[in-house]
Amino acid sequence: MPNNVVSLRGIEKSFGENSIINGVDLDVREGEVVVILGPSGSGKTTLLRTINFLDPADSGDITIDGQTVNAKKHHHKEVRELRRKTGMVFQNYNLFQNRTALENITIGLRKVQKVPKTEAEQKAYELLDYVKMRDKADSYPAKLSGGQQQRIGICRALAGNPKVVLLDEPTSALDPELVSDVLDVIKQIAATGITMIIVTHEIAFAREVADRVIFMKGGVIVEQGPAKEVIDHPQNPETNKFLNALIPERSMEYVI
Amino acid sequence: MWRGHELFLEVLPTLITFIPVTLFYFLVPTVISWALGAWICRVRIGKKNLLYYVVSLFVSFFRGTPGLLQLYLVFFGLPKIAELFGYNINTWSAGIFYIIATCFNFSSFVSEAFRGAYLAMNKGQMEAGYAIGFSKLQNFIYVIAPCTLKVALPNLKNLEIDLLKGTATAYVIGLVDVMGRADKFIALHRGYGQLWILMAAGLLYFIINVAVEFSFRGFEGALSKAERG
Amino acid sequence: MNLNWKFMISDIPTVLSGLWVTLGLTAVSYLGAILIGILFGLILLKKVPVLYQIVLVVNTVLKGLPLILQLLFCYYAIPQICKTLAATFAFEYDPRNQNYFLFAAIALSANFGAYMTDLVVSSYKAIDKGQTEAALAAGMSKLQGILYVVGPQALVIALPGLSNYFMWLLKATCLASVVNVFEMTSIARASTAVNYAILEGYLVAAGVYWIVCVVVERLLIGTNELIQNRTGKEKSYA
Repeated sequence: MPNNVVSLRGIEKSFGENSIINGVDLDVREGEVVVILGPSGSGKTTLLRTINFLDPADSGDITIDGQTVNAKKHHHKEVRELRRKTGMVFQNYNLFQNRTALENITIGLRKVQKVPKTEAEQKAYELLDYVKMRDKADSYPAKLSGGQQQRIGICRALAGNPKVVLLDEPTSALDPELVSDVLDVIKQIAATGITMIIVTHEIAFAREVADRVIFMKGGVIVEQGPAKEVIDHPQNPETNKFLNALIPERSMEYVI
Repeated sequence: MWRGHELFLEVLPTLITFIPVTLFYFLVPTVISWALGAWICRVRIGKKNLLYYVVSLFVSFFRGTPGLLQLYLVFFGLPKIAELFGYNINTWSAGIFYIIATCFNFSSFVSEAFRGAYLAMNKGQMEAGYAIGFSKLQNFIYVIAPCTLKVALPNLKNLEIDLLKGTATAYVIGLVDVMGRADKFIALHRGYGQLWILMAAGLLYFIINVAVEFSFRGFEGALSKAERG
Repeated sequence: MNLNWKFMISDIPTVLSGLWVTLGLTAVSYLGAILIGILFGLILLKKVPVLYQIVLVVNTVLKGLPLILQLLFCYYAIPQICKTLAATFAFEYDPRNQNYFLFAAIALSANFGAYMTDLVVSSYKAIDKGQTEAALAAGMSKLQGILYVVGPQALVIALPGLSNYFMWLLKATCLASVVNVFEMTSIARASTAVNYAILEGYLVAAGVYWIVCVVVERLLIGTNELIQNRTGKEKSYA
């Protein structure tokens, strides 16, 4: 039985009257890339954010790399420890505005994991080289384009050697011409074997990079399976409907 | 009036020696109020429990009544409160009463400046801080505080200048700073020359004011340089 | 605590009588400040030579000196000026019958006028140039453009600042008690001359100020929201 890096059991969450997540169980294996698709309001982003307790679930258990934390009853120290094992890439990048690109990457290492400065900077430069942004190391976020900021955000998420990287619609806020650069970086990373859970609308990208695709609607997992199967031949009519709405060409049949 | 110039030059040196006093009663409340104001702000953005309401009432009072009146209230009222506990504080110098009254007053305004800045802050950075595993304290030190400070700084600058100008009212309870000494001069020169004495004091306040303004411009410049790269 | 509660309650009407003077002083000074603000603001916006520099210097001084200093200055200076004027233009001037209220109002108007100037200038500048252009294109004169188009919009933008300054002025009138004006604080103090219950008197005054400030603030915020909603502007808070 391959290692489960992430396990979610019985996740439920409501915001006031609205129940956003209605009971979700999920296992993610080591090295797996899982993409979550779904219409807005389906709970996919909220689900992602319950994993690192940014929006703690109302009930359920979250297990990352063997550590289980209960959504209802937990100590903030447990949550911090859990977060050290995750990295998050935000839709709006959320870089620390008052720090350089380099500092954005090193700050977590130095202050949370107590890595010495030289070591942290070395790691940061490695990551910057990987995303081909070493020359921007001393730039402040305000001077960087959205795509550049997001690549730094990805570096920041990878800096602490997380067990799983959570990506919340990483390209939704980008201008179209910058999207492919960021997607390429994510594909690169996926190829190195890091476990990733990605919420995105980019279907072609999902088809290419994901091992497994999950379709969520109404707060539950409607369908899941290998990426190419779910996207090309969905079993569930809801999935089909959603994919058609996103890619109109899909439903057209060409007879040449 | 032709002797006015002489009077001006006569009182100026003495008044200058009282600048440190004015600065003292400017800097001490500043330091205390920033700390107290930060704490008040934290309470006011937190849970709405008893402490929240008590503190909010405190802020409402000190923002809703004149500073001079607050000064009188502390000056006359604190001894009475001390009596309740068996202490006689009538021998305290006016300066202490002034500092206490001013700290209560100023920290209320400072807390509002911090609060406005905090509420306007982009919460995304805070989330990013938590996501990389910062504790609440670390998030505060590395993310929240720098951001809030930068946004609040223009307001804080104006408040600080008001604080400086406010030190001039302390003489009514007997504090002898620049204005206090000027007032003594005026008492000695009943009938003429008050204007020249006031102008001398005014000149000094103006100079200190410019110094404070430049210091803040310096802070603002340094902080925003960091963001503009 | 050994506070003279009975006295405090009996003192309320007396202190309240001072409220009229306080409100009156606030209103008069506020109007004066607005007039000065508009006048100086126009000079700054039109960049009138010589006057422009004078206004800048005057405003810097007014904003850079303690208000109490300015009040004291007017207290001593205005009688002197009146004396000189009376001598030059040969009219009656009775140095025993001073209108201290007026002196304080002048000082307060000048001080707050300097801040109003900034408000006028910044509100005017915040309006899109296109508005004036559209007004002119529609055939309005420059004055009409200001009266019907730019002015009202600038007013809405300035509302939070205007409300803020009103509250500040209301509290600033307390300083006038130092220069012989019988506003609320002075009257509160005077009412305790018989029994030395100074603290109690000031507590009553503080209570009145507080209530008035809270009520006025609510009224102003409500009015602001009403006006901003009607004009469809985004809400902004002081």
